[in-house]
Amino acid sequence: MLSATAIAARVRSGEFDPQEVTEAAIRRLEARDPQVHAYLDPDLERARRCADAVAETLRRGEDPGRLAGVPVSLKDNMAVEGATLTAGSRILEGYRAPYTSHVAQRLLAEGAVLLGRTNLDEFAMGASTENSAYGPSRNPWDRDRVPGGSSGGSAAAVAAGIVPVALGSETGGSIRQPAALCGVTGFKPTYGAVSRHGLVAFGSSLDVIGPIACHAEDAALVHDVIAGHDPRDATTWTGERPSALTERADLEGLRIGIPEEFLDDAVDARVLERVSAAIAQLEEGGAITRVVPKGSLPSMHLAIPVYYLVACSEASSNLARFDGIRYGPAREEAAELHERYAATRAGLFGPEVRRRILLGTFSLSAGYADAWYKKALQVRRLILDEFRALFADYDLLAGPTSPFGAFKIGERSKDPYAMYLCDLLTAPACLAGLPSVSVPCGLARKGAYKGLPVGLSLTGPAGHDHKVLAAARAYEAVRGAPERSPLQEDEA
Amino acid sequence: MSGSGPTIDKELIERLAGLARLGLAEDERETLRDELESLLGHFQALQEVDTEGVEPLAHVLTATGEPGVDAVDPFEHARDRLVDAAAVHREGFFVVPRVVEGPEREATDDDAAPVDPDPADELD
Amino acid sequence: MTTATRWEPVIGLEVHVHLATSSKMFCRCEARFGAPPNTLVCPVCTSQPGTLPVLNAEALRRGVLAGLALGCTIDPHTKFDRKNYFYPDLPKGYQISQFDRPLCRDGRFRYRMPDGADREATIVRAHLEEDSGKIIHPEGMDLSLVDLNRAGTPLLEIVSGPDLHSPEEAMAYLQELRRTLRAVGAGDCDMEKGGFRCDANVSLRPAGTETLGTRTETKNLNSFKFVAGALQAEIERQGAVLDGGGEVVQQTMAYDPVSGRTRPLRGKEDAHDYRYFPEPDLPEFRVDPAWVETLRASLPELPHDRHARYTGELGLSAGDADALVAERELGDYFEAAVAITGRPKETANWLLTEVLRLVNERKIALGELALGPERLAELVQLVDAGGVSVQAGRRLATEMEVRPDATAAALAEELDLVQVSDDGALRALVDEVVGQETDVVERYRGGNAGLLNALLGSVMKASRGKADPKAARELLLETLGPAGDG
Repeated sequence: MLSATAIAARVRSGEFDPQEVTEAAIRRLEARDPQVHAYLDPDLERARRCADAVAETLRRGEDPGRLAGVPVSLKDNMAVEGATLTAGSRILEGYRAPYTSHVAQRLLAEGAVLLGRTNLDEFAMGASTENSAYGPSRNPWDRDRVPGGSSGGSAAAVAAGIVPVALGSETGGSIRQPAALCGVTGFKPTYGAVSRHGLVAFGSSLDVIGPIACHAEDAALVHDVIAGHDPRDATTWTGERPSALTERADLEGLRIGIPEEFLDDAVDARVLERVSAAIAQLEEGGAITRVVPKGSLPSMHLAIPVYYLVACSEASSNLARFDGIRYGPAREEAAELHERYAATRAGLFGPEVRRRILLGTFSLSAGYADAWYKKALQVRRLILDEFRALFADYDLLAGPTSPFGAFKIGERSKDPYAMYLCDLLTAPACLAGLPSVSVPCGLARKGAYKGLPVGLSLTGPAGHDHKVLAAARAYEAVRGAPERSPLQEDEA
Repeated sequence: MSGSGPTIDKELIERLAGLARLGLAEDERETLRDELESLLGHFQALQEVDTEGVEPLAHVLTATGEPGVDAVDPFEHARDRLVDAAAVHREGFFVVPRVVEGPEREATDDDAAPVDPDPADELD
Repeated sequence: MTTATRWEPVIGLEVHVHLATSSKMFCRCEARFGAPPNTLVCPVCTSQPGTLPVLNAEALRRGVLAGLALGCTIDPHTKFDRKNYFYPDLPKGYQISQFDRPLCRDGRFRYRMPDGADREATIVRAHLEEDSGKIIHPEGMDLSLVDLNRAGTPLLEIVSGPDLHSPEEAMAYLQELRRTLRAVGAGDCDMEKGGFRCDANVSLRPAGTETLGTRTETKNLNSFKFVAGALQAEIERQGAVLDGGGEVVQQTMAYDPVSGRTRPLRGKEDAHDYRYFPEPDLPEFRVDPAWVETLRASLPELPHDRHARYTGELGLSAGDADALVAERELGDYFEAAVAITGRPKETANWLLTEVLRLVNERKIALGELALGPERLAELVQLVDAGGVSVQAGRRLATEMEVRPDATAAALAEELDLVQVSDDGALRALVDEVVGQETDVVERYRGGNAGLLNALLGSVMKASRGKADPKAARELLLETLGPAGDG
């Protein structure tokens, strides 16, 4: 499949007809989605209307924009006026968004074709899409395995070659981990770089939207389009924001640290092998890489508890609005108000969401808040400070994105904590709000994840989104084209 | 890795489920009790960190906010997109089961408050 | 010893004031009372998934103005928190409020008692928060209706210290507070529209001690009358409990104005667990101290200070000063007029009688009158100089309102209202009356001194109000001599 950059260039030059580009994407979706269940609502008609609008713009002799005719899929937690918006939950079944999210507006303004909404763990709570109320998505590399999550539908859609780029959202690893498990590039921007207006909230102080793409260049292009100040989100930053697409992609002299904490015992040996090979490639490309001895991130081992306490505390409040009164289905059999709340919420939230609401309610409740919520916030500061200190010596930090490759459906879903460990290496950057990219660095050669993709993570200081994406582009140049999933190979 | 966290009893689960308005069956409460206790056991390492004097970090944003202007910009689809989206609505209102005084009433409510027909009358 | 003398009430008030903004606190819906249900709503204030709050700058500004008027310190770094609880009028399931960094704190507020005595109450804090929607309970139906028009409108919650020791002090505090907030433009404090609502914390302690007893909170007092009634009722109730050897239970009360009693609204205080935490959708806001100083400099003279100046420096009666500071517009009108006339008492008198009469008759606002302060000053000066009589002045005021183009003097001339104080013309009028009303003159001379006024009235009438009453009276006396002399 062509890159988004290539499609946009050819649509703008008149070489490609946007309606034909869209029909081709629709054909790929119809052929492949039944095998991966990446989409909750393909919404083909909307895609066709978008393509018509781009064609009309071209007919008027105007430029449709930087994403002219590029099919882009959204994770189903981003609002598009009139379109379904389930967040993977029964509690939003049948709900249609009354307004359009900032990111969708930005994509449309640049001529993108919105092709469907993709599957996710309910309210983005999970690392496998198994928590989706509408059934799990499947990994295009092995359909018995998970695509990762929570943005697993978006990662699977890109890895299956249906669209060149899709949007995901990340709170603790939900863009980078599925990207790693599906062998594609996923970028989590600095917190506040992209407006959350129209993103169904999970953990508001952590949530951020970013691209999942086949090519780092496409991730950079889409990030350039969606990032920037939005007056409707008071937490977007207003400062200077250099282009990630035009930033010079050069590894020469780049100081890359590999904190030993990233090479935790929990990381699969075959995953480490691929990541070490990738680090060697970075070195060959001119980067100065160094393993930072244990002790530079002494609080990192606490990132899982800190992350779950913070995110679930915020989620317990964010999800209070789902009460069945103003929208969504209501359990009307309960005649008393508070019983109806309880019946609606218990009946329509899935088990993981209920678990996290309960954990968050606990963490904030009287008598426990100091020991848990406040304590988590204190350690969060320690983690941030430790990262900041490291960036005095390094331009980027590298390591594996996920401790392991794509696991089997059902393998981790019985034990909540086993699933939470998926975030081991991604949650720290989320807590510190740092930009981080996962790029595919080959397939595991042996072991439990043999033949499955491994992701290399590159993390930079806050606000250095352009530098992180430039490094990903530079790595891609030294690495060469990544392996394609079997579903994509069908294309050839 | 699992330390010994706090003991979560049935009453606490009931209290939390009540606060979060989650109507749980007996067996679900029991399962959640076990899970919460197990998770907090895994999280127990947090309690061993010395955080004396560390300012809690609720938000990584260092920049401060800019308030927006006070200008009315009405939403044109209040009826067709917001009211009509409700499972039950009536004459433009959202409908709920009859509200009775409950333990969770709030300072700004007024449903239980009598209305003085001439409230601005100042007494001497 | 009676209950009233044995126990001293300790009262603290929490007042919710609607801040006067065009749009809501966190979205751009119109903040207005009285619209059809759910017409002033948007995705944000109906808490659609994915929506975020954006702080209204004007709510912040008016909150600061109020805080300054209450003598508070303004926090240079204010922040918002979430207060979590479920209720149908609270669409997000949490209220955006301020917990540990209120915009305003540690104020001292002076208020005036009806007898003129000055008192001071501390202001513990004043913080910004959003209002809830409204719930309606239709008769005979097993359901309630929710209107979110009010949801998200800006409030300032003002919490006084436990410094009020009688219902009278509480009322005086509230009235001064309302006048002050209106004067600085923080809010309209329109009680009918719920723009000024009060919760009262009451406890009793043995008179002469400094301990604090167990308190109750009486909620939702939306008129001054209810506050007074509720405080009286609650003080009596607690007094009876304590007199009987019982203990006051900390609980939330409601006031029933029909029975004149307070009753518990709920008992389980421990059911509250609001799980406050910093609102992650709003960053910290820097409130620039230089900007705060600009606002401080822009504050008008506060009603309390104005009243003191009027009764002191200007020598007005307490009653007139009360009336003038009740509304900022009235005081400002007075200031403008008195600056020209230099006659405070006369100016206040004309303003509070004739000008307010015109406002009432015409049912318009003071600012809409054609008879503005400059023209009232003309009138006051004309009367003062003896150009027209007081009686004619009243008529002139009405005419000036209808004839905005004409000066007071020109109108008096035109309407033939110029006072007759010329000796010859006046003497002719007096002679005419004395000649005609022989019967009255006879009885006056017979000793009925009061009839001099009747004769004076006839002279005034004959002059069609133009005669200078003082000069006319003197002439009558000169002509007739003292009563009973005949």
